Amino acid sequence: MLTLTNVHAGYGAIEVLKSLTLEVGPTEIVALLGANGAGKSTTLLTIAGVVPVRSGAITWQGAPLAGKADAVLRQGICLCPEGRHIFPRLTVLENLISGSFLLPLKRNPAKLEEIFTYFPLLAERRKQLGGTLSGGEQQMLAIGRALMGEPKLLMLDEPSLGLAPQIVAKIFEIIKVINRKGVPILLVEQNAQQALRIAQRGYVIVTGRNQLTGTGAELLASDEVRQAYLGE
Amino acid sequence: MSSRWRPYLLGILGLAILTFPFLWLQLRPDFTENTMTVTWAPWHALQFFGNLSPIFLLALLIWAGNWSNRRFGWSRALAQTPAFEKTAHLWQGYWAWAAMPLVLSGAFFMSASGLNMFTNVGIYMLLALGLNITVGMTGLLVLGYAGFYGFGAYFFALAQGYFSFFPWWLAGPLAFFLGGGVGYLLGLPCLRLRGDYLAIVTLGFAEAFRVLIGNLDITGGQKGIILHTSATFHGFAGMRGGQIAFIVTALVLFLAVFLIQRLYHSPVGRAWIAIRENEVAAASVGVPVVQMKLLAFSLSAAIAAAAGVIYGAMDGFISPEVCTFQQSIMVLAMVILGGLGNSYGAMLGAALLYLVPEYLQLLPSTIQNSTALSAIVPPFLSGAFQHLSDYRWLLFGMVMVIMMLYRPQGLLGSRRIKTEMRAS
Repeated sequence: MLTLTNVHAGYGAIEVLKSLTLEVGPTEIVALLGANGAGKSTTLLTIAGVVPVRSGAITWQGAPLAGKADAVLRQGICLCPEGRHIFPRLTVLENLISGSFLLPLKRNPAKLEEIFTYFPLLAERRKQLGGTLSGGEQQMLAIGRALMGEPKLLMLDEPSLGLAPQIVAKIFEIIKVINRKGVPILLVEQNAQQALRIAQRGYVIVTGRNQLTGTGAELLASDEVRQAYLGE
Repeated sequence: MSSRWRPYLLGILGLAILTFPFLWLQLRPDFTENTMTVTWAPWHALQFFGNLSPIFLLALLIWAGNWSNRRFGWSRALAQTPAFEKTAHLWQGYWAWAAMPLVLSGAFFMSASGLNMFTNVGIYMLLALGLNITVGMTGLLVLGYAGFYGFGAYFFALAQGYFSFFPWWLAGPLAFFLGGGVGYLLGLPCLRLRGDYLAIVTLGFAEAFRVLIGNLDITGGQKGIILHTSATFHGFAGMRGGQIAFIVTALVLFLAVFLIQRLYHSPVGRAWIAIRENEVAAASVGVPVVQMKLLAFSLSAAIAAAAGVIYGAMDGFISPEVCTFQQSIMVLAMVILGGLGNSYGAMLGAALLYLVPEYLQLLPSTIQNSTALSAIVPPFLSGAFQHLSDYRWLLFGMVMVIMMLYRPQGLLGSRRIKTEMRAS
């Protein structure tokens, strides 16, 4: 569905991605792992069209993926950015509606209901300002807002950032549910163990290059991953 | 006395101590003998503080209004009364249209000076509306807004030199589009900058423009340009020029309010709000951030340029004074006072900041002419009003401080701005 072949990308003189190859299938959760600075977020930003591709190819549903951020979003690839970035002074409901900015039907009641079944807390707090939510609730709101855009591929950048373990487990449960409803997910995580448990496949990247790849279970069992990211 | 007032009181006290020796001095030039006598006059300093007393009174009034609202909640109570609650959504959208015939009919019963004053109010309202698009709605701080205003005025004036017939109704729409173009071109490099940097670049643009036109031969330098009477608002179809100026300004104002409100409640307006709230998030939901910022920037520049033509056509004379830094700050103060992000608030702020000093200037003669008033008002107060226009900037500064403390969202501001101001 989405394939990256030998993609190079970076900022100014610094090349972050040095020949990265990656694939996301139509029903998969794919985890992208790596140390700080390995290029995980840059990979997502490159797919989203924020960071330009220098060489290599990105194809989406069989056709080359080109264009700026809003063109990519129009094709159904939605990035839920790191650090949540909700609108603090819009209400929960307004935040969600803003997610369908590019769609003709801005306030899609069926989609809203679907999101409220994933996150019942958001339904309770629909009139509250986004900034007054807790960190976990804000992350739920950010995912919900991304879903309002009816993505065909959802990219999540560090959804567990700064959250309590209990909340993290809850959010990963919901990611699984969303995936089962037919949305493929590309997941960037520091929390490798949690991510690999829900992911069908995973990639480990080191300084912008592919290091390891395999199914979630394989990577979880791999000594290399255990030593480098699971602290064993 | 709450502790948050302490720094301001200390500041005022410090200023008073620092300037006290100078206020005691009285200089008397004698032009026949070409000498200057310097005398010490302690009462002079006291008079200075006496002159300030109306400002304190005004501040007290605002504070009392706000305090009573917080204590008794009358504004909320008013909105919840059956008479106002049900119709609230109606006046919010349409009260401006209902007021239109009333406003326009004003042209036929106001005095010439009154018309002039309210045409000026209309021009400032246009400017405040335009600036509100960038500062209030999109969250881009622009400190050199008068530069675009000056551009419009000078475009109108300079075109007179090249075309024998170039009236205001031709120049106005042209200035609107050209001003938008200038805003777009300035925006292209500038909008990569954020916050303070954008403010400084726009300030630099306005100052560079002012200095340039003040030193060019074709603009007449500091002397300015006198416009052809045929191009300005002149008597037509039995109406005086002042009446036409007022009607045109009012109509343009209604048009601007309509345009801006329609945009504000469209996806464009929502995109502006999204950018103001969080740029990264706005981009992540597909808002074309750069285009939307450029649109806001050039629309606000276009409105200022059109306002510049109206000013030129009303006054018949243009000089670099139209686009001073003070002018930019005054419009910004109007937007902040009225309520960031609210078009009607910006208009209210413009009316207040223009009219209050004007009325206060007229007060002393009103008091003198009325025996009843002159019996009641103590002489030191009526003397104070005479000097009030000299303290206009002091008044603005104090109003701003009071607003930031007690009503940071502005008179008609939204709850959202308030939470932001409180948080930061």
